Amino acid sequence: AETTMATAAEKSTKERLLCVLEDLEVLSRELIEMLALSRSQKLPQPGEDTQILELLVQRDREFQELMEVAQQQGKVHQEMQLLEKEVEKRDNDIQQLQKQLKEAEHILATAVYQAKEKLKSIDKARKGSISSEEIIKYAHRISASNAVCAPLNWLPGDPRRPYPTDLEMRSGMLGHMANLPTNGVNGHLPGDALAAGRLPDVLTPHYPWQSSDVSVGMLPPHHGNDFGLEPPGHNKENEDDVEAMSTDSSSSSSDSD
Amino acid sequence: MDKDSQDVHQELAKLKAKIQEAREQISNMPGIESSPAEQQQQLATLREQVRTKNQLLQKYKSLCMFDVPKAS
Repeated sequence: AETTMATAAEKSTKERLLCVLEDLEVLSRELIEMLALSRSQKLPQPGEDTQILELLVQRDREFQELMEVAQQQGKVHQEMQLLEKEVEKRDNDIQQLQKQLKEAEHILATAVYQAKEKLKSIDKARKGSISSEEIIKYAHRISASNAVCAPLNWLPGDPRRPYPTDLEMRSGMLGHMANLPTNGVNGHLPGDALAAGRLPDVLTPHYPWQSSDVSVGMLPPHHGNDFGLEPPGHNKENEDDVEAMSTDSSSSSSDSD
Repeated sequence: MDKDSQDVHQELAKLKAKIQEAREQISNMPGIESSPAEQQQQLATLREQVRTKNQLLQKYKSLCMFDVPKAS
């Protein structure tokens, strides 16, 4: 009996109503047929009609009760529909809010990223700060002392070579860019070292190009061949300079005559 | 007897029609797809949902630390 109760409880009200209605139909029909028959014949079993009638009344009562339940459920259903509408409304609100929060997040993320970039560049600028005085000093040295061409009386071994020399070029930023993977040395050189045309002893052994092929560097070697690319209209004095500056005997400038 | 039986048949047909009508009405009744217990559970769930969502919105409303500029 408990299992029947359990299944009855699990069954929907609609199913139960239809079930009872079915019973009512069957019982009513049976009763009507029985009554119709009783006019002409004797009842097969006396009291059967009352039994059916009782069952019918019982089913009817059940039906009425279920109808009450169904009406209550109808009311609850209305309430549920209202609640569902409310839930939907709240869902929309939440989605709207979520959208706004996402937008805000995006704006903030962009702002934070830009601020970080700015801080990074500020930090970088601070770390790599060079006094303008030093730059001017360096520029002055380049322009004032044999920066463009060697002195006329230059001979091999004379340290007063045109600036910058091959070695200095390679120790600068451009040279370092070509040797990035093995580079661990700061690109800036003290002005004194540059002026003297030599490197501090501490730095010298670390330069990667010293052991590797010279042509790996970003700039071509400071050889006479480079001057050979010049148009053949230059004067004798320049030619002499070139000849004098070049340490390579294969200079093509002498062939231009 | 024939007349009686005809009457009975008629009544039975009427009964059948009525029952059919009742069946249709029951099928159209709202909210009886589940048992009362199940329905109460669903109702409770819905109420809980509304309550939670209200709480959530309220929480964010009170958290709002900056004015959102109105789109013009």
